[in-house]
This record gives sequence, structure tokens and C-alpha cells, in this order.
Amino acid sequence: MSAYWPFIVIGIFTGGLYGLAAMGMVLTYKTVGVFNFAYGAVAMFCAFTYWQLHDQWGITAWLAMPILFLIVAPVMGVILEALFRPLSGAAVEVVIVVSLGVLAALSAGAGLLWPQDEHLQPIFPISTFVLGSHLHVGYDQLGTLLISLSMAALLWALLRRTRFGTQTRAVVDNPDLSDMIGVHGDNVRRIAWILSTVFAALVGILISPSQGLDVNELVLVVIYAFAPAVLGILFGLPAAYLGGLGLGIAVSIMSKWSNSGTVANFEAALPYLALFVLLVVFGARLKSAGSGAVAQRLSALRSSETVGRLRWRIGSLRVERGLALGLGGFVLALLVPVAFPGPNLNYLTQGFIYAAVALTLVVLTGWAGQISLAQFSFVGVGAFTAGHLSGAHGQHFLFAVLMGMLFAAPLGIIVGLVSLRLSGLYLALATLAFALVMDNVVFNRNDVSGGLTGITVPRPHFFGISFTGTASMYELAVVVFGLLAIVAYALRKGPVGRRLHIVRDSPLAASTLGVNLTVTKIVVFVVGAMVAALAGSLYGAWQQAITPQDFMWSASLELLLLVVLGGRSLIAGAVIAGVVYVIPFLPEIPTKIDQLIPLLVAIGVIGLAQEPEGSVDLTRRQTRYVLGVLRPLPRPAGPPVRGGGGAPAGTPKVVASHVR
Amino acid sequence: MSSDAAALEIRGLRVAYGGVRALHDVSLTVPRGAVVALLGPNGAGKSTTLRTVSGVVRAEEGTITSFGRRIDRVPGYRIARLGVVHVPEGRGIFPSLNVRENLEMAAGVGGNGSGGRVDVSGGIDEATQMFPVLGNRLRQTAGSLSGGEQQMLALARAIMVRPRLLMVDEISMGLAPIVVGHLFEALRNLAATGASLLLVEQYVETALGLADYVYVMDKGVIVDVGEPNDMRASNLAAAYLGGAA
Amino acid sequence: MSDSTAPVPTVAVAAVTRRGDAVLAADGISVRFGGLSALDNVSLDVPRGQIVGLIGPNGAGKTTMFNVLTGLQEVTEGRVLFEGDDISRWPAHRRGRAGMARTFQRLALFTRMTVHDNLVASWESSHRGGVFGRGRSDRQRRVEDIMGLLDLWALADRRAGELSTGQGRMVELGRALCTDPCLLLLDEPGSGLDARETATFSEILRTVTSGDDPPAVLLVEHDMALVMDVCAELTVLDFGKVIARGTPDHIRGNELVRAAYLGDASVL
Repeated sequence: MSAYWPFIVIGIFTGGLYGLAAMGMVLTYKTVGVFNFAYGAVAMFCAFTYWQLHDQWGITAWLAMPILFLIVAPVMGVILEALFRPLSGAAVEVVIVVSLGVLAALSAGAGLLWPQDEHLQPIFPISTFVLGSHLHVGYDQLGTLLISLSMAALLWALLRRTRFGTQTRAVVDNPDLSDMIGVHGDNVRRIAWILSTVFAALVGILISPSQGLDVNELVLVVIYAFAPAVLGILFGLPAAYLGGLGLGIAVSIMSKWSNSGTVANFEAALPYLALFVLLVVFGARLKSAGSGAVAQRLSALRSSETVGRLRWRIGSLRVERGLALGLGGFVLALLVPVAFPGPNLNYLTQGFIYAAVALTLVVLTGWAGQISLAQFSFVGVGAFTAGHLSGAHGQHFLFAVLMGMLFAAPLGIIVGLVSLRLSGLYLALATLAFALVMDNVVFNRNDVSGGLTGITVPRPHFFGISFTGTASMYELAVVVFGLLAIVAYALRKGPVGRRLHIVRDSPLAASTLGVNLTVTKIVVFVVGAMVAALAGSLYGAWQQAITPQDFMWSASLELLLLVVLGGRSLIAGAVIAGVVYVIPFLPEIPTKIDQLIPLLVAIGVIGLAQEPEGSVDLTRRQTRYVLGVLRPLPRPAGPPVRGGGGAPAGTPKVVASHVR
Repeated sequence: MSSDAAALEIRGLRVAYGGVRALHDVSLTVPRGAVVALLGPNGAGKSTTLRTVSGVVRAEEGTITSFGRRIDRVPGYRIARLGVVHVPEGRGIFPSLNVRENLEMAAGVGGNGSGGRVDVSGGIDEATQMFPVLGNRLRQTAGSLSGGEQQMLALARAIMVRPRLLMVDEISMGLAPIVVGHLFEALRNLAATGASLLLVEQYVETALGLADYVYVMDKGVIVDVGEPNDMRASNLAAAYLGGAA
Repeated sequence: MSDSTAPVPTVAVAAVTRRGDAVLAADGISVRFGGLSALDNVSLDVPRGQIVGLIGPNGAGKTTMFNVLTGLQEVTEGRVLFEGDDISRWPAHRRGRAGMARTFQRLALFTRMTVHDNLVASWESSHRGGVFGRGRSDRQRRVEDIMGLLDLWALADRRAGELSTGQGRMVELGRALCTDPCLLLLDEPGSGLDARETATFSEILRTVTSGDDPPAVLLVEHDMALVMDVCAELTVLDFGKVIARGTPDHIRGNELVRAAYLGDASVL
């Protein structure tokens, strides 16, 4: 046992911080229904601010800390509150994407402002004392534990033992009603955000001395805290803190085994595995926060004008406008190499391959209402399977692609089964956990991915055509995407599209009408996984060398972000997502601007608060508005707008309002 | 302000809601101590009227005065503190709080507009006397109560505050007749203490039995007003309210 | 109230003799959540072509009973016979395909689809091969018939999410009818309707249940005027138990029902 004590000490130290972070996340989730994916980024940003104040400008800790905790963190909290306020009642994926946007903005901002790989000066003296016979405990570890423990207790007491606590729960339950009975809802929400941000700042400055100040590192560390956060959502704040402690200890002990070579790399995957298992086991008890009914009403109101099919007349032929535009775009895309030959075509190839992945997200999220943050895991499975087969094993390209798709199918079934138990945020978290486990357990294996160096893949060659050239590879990608898009388009307007839409709008009603939800959801996820794998095998063949970094979890998040931005239920949204995705790769873009792109995207996403249906829908409506102004059309029946306020025609008397 | 100012005075109210105009020029008065019923078909704008008074929805035009004080620009949470309390349609409760906590929420509201605190424990006793079934369920989460019990809880919490003006929206919706009877009993008792009431109600006969004055609304305008007996005789009211009047 | 005795014996006998022609026969249904008993030995028959009412106080277990019948809730004990088949273990979608259709107390429309597509999707879901586009002309005919019957043409291209409660209830009814049901379960269809809408609804309900081979209807409703008007027979639930069963007149005069549910008749 004694051999474990040092690891337990380290585990308690980091675990307490996971616990703090988890509590901060539970706080905003419970009060405003926002599960803040950007929590790690907030912590990171605060840690950098403190580093600037203290380590750079030499402000004494006695002054720098109050500045951080009483000014910087609360201001960030207030800004976040204002940012998320318009989103109350918006669809889950939009809220997730906006918080991803905040994450991107903060990361990009920190990247521009501060150098990376710095270390924060420790808050506590770096010396140790000896406990028992020979267990060394650092003062920093002890101090951190005490702080996290007391803050956790304070927060718990605040929420459980004061009127403020009851009020926060009331505001979550029924915001309108809480106002009606005299609770200032906005204030309660603001305080919750401020507390949450202060906790993030605390986590940031306590963890940075040991973990280093790095944009990506801290964000990842906080993802560890997702599992205890879910515990907290289920069983209350103390569970979040204890869960964090337990996780910290477990990971620390695992790392001992892992160092001794017993369980390779398992400790890195443990928190995600825990998250996944937790969600699946307690799936039945988890209900997404926020009223789904409100969300549906809102989006129905907002996009009410997009109903009805637009047709163009070409001679005596009536063509749906979407189809006409799509086919036109397809032909233009095929002609691009003629007009713009050259190496930059490569990026457009990549764009269309990503667009195919994005298309699976449109079908899953936009049509069927199922959020997946694991699409790039399927892409990776397809890429590595096809890569090995067509490369090292010298198999036919098409056979390799087929096998890649078949390998992805069972994984699609797993995620599909998960989607039967979970929906909304929890499905998003479970798929994220799935992706992280895939990253750490599968893609990290040398025999799968060739480790960090990756594997090489040959360009495809089939039907007597060799796709070694830039242009031919491009055409292949365009044709594949085009075919997928045509199939998707054809299905969308017909029975299959309707089936997906009703499963999204009301699974309950759909099932009583005769829809087999199990089959429907599994088919959607399996097809989505296979198409993603197909795109993956194309990606490998195009790139000719692939590494695990190409299929990281973060790619799935970024692509979802772009899809929602483009329009999550539109095929055009997929094209936009794919093309925008590759812009930062373009060599012509100067590095500084390169770093600004995530920031711009993030700002765009934040604008989603006003336009949840995405940019295409927005432009479409604006165009129609302009057209409508120029050439007034008979509008669909709305409520009659009567001037003045007279009674309806035929009403015998209009009544004065004084009773006496 | 003057002591005889009406409990509620709405003048020329116009409201647009989700891009659709819901109220066109609504004027309505609830005299001090009176019970006023606001009737009309679905979509007439009755709930919107109430929601505008309690500050959930903002008016485009018009004034709302309560006991001599303009409230149309006052934020919702302050309106409640002035003693204007709204029991909304549907869920008038906090489902994840238990019954006791739901009642304790009333402590945030200064009764009688005095800004004073409500006597919470006394109020809870009173509420459980009014609806004994709540007394057995103080520790149960409100969301697990039956529909009738939820409405009793909502009404008890509102009455606990000793509102000067109570607005009740479709409290009988989806309830067993016997429960509707209990709820109206409580409203009758409240009215007897001198509080002013504004009721929106689908069961026309029940509402007419309690009201001093009746307004009939349709499509965002007031189309008729009078005393209950006039209404029973009025063809116009029958046309708007169906055969029930 | 809760210590009420078993169903009135004479009625129980009548139910047994009729069982041969019942579309639906629920037999001794019990549902317990943890220690809580939501339904306790409830039996219920719906004869072919009839409208049967299921009434009782809020929380008496009416919606739970609907969930049991449609397969959204598993039974602890008892069995459900539908057209002679024991369907107790069938999943919801299989029951839907077999001709059982329901509406929801809280509207469960396909909010982001048009009214027309709500009906079309319903037809496709309940008919074999519908998802592969089979039977398109039958589908169109049926959908158009129902749109006409329920007077929904004016709303055909509106999104279901924008409708008023009254319109929404009509679309849910239409959606249920599109499955060509032999049993229609209506969960508080009158809730949230005003007097005029209620009158229209009961008229339509009468049309639906007349004609050749009409569906049987099980109706949960609090609007006593509506219930007494359309139902041939009523079953009254209280605390998960059947406390009375019989014709509307019989129920109106029943002391147990008065005490548990109706109260004094002023609200009728």
C-alpha cells in the first residue's frame, strides 16, 4: 500500500481541482442550462491574466489576486451571461456550438496575446513536509486541497442553506414565474455566472504552476472534469467534488501502473471512459435542461417563412430552386481545375472531403436531431483501415474503401445504441467521450496508426484511371461529394427525410404511429459512420500520409461548429463548413490572420444567438425580404392587422372601457 | 396617490408578440376590491394581456396603472413586489423545488405593496389550511404532484403574499371538476377579504358566478363589457363564448 | 376516497359478456413505480365502434393507462388484448402499425413540419413500405380525405409549431386517423379548447365514429359536458383503481364519483 501513497497525494491534489471545475460547470448548467464547454478556456484565460499581472508586471500577489477574483473574473462572468442570455430556449446544439465558439475565441485570443509554454510562478512555497514515516507532501498540494475543499463547502452551503440557493433553482425551473413572484432572474443568473468564472480562475491559477501555461493543455485538463460534472448534475454538488477527487486519485494510480508498463496509456483515457459509462448507465435519469417545447416553438417561429418549396420555371419545366442551384454548383465545381489549375486546388479537394463529413452531421444533427461529436473517429477508422489495406497490403482501392466503411459500421451501431438512451447535451458528451477514448486507446496504437509518424497511403487507381494528379484527385472528391449530396437531397424531400424529421420533433409520437426508433436511429448512425469512413479513406488517399492528429476529437467539434454556422439542416451548410474548414491551411493567408480566423468564426458563432438556423437561412430570408419589398407578394394568411382597435365587422357595439 | 385609484387600469394597450400583433388597443379596468372576468375564445389575447401587466411581455403602446402607479415600464420582478401577483396558465409552480420551498418563494414578494416581508411560517400554515392535501406533501417535489395539487400550490403561494391584485389565468384547465370547485372556493374567500381579482377562465359559467364585471375579448380587442347578468342575456357574448353563456 | 370498493358488480358482468366483440380488452393492469402504485388491477373493454370515456381526478392514472395501452409504459401485472392478440409485450411502434393510434394531452406535433407533412409522415409510418415510398396514391387520397374531414386545408402549409392549441389538437387527431386505426385513444382532446372549438370537436368526433367500420374510441377528458355528450360508457379511475363504470347517467348519480371527482355539480 505504501507504494501508492505518493500517487494518492498527487491524485487528491489534482482531483480537488477537477472537483472545483466540475462544480463551476454544474453551477451554470443548473442555473442557466449552459454546459460550458469553454470552461477550461475561461480558466486558462484567467491564469494568463494572472501571469501577466503577477509574473510579468510584477504586481504583488496581494494585489493581483483581488484584481483577478474581484474584477477580471466577475467581468468575464457578466460578459458570458450577456452572451448566453439570448440563447435561453435555443436548441442544444446551438448552445453547445456557441460555447465552443467562446472556447475558440478565448484560445485564439490567448494565443495572440501571450507566448505559450510559460509557467506560472507557484502560489504556494515549493517545499515539502513529511507525513508519517516518509510520505512527502508539498505545501502547494496541501494548500490547493484546503482551498478547493473550503470553496466547495462554501458553494454548497450557499446553494443549499440560503435563499439565494432556492432562488437559483426557482429561476432554472420556471424563469417567467420567478419574475412574476418577485425574483430578479437576471441577477440570479449573473451571480451564478460570476461564481462559476471565479471558480474557473481559481482552478486556472492553482493548476498552472504544475501543468504549465498552455492554451490547449488547460482546456484538456478541464475536459477531465466533465465526468465529475455529470455526477454533480445527477447527484448534486458534493458528488461533483467527490467525483473529482476520486477521478484524480484513480488517474494518478493508473499512471503508476502505466509507468510500469502494465496498462499502456489507459490513464489518459480513463476520465473519458468514466464519462461515457456514467452517461450510458444513468441515461434514463438524465433529462436535458431547458424546455424543449420552448426551443421548438422559438425555432418554428423564426424559420416559419422558409416553409414551402421554391420553384423556378424554365420554359414549361418547373425545377426546384435548391436542386437547380445545387446542380449548377456541382457543374461549376467540376470545372474549377480548368479555370484555376495549380497546387491550391489541393485545398479545395480537402474542402470537399470535409464537406462529405459535414454532410453526415447535417443529416444527423439537422435532420434527425442527433448530435454527434465523434464523426472524425469514423473518419479515422476509414482512413487507417483503407490506408493499411491499399498501402502496406496492396489491396484494390475500392476494396480498401469498402472495408474501411465496414469497420466503421459496428462503431456506428455502438453510438446509435447510445443515442437510444441519451439525447441532447448528454448524447453530445457521450459521443465526445467516445471520440476521446478512440483517440487515446485506438488511434494511439502503433499498429493502428504508426504512432506519431503515421502511415503512408498511395493515391487511388481504379477503372483504369489513376488519381495521382492534383486535378484528378480533386474531381474524384467533387464527384463523391456530389453523389452523396444528390442522394441526400433526394431522400430529404421524401419519406426518409420525413422519417428523420419526425424522430427529431417528437420521438414519442413517432413511435406510437409505428416508427421503430431503435432501427431508425441505428441506421442513421451506421450510415453516417460509413459515409464518414468513406470520406476518411478519400482523405488518406489525398493526403498520402496520415497521422492520429488528423482525426482528433477537436476536429469533430470544429466541424460541428462550422456546420451549425453554415446551416445545420442544409446541404449547402455542409459545403460551407467544408470549405471554411480549410481556409486556415491556405499558405497565402498570413500567420497572424490565420490565428484570427478562429476568432472570426467564434464571433460568427456567437452571432448565432440571433440566427439559430445558420447563415444560409439568414441570407435566404434577407434576399426574400428584399425581393418582397421590391415586388410585394400576397403574404400567407396572418392575423389581420386592424387599425385603431375597432371591433370586428358586424359587431353591434364597441364598448367603452370604464365600468362605472 | 389617490386612495380610490383602481386596482388596475389599462389604457390603449398594443402588444406584438413574436412578430405577430396580439393586442390592438385594449382598455380595461379592475376597480378596487372587484372581481373582473376576462373571457373570450382561444387566441383572443387574454393571456397576453395578463402577461403584459406582470411585465413578462412589453407593451408597444398604452399605459398600465395599478393603484395609481404606472407599471408598464417597471421590470417584472418589481411589479410582483408591488402586490400585483400573476398565477400563469399551466405550470404556476417550480417543479424541482419541494412544496415547502415553493411556498417559501413567496417570501420574496412584499405583500400589500408595503415592501414588507411575508410571514413565511404563518403563510405555510394558512396554505395548508386552505388546501389540506398540501400539508401532507410539504417535502415532496412539486413536479411529482398531480395537476390539481400543482394548481392548488400555485394558488396558495399567490394568496400567501396577500396580493392587492391577483391575476389568475385558466386555473381550471385540465382539472377534475371537484378540484375546480376547491380552487374557486379559495378565490371567493380571497375576494371576500377585499382583494381585487382579474380572472381568465374557460368555464364561462363558473367565472360568471364569481365576477362583478365581465369583459369579452376577441382577436386582440375588447368586444363587450358588462355585469354577469347582462352577459347571460347578451347574444353577443353567446356568439363569442359559444353556447355556454 | 382511496378505500373505495371493487367495481360495481353488475357492470363487471356486462363487460365480460361483451368481451367477444371488444377491440381492446385490458385485463387486471397494475403499474408500480418503486413502492408507488399508479394503476391497481384496472380492467377495461372498448367495444367495436363505441366511444368509451375514462375519467377521474388528476393523477388517478388515466395517462399512465394510455401509456400502458400504447406501449410507452411497461406493466407490472396484467395483459392487454388487442383484436384478440395479447400485445402486452409489443413495443409501441408495433401497436401503432396494428391499428392503435393516440393523441397526447401535451401536444406532441412534428413542430417543424407542415400540417400536410405531419399527416403524410403519419401515413408512411403506419403503413408497410411507407418509408420506401410505397402506396403513394393511396397515401395522397387518405391524407386529402382527412384534411377535408377535419377542415385542415387552410392550414396545410403552416408549420405545426405555429398552430394554436385548438388547431394542434385537430392535427393530432388527423395524424391519428391517417394510420387507419381501429382504436383511437384521445388524451384530453378538449383541454385548452374554448367553447366553440369544443363544440366543433365533438361534432367531428361524432362524424369520425359514424359511417362504416368506424374506429372505437377511448376518451380521457375533464370537460364533463363533452364526455357526457359523446360517450356510451364511462369508467372512473381514482388512485389507480376503477371506482365506477356505467352509462353517463349512471355515473352522474354515483355517490363515489361525486365525492372523488365531480364534486357539487356547479361546474358542470
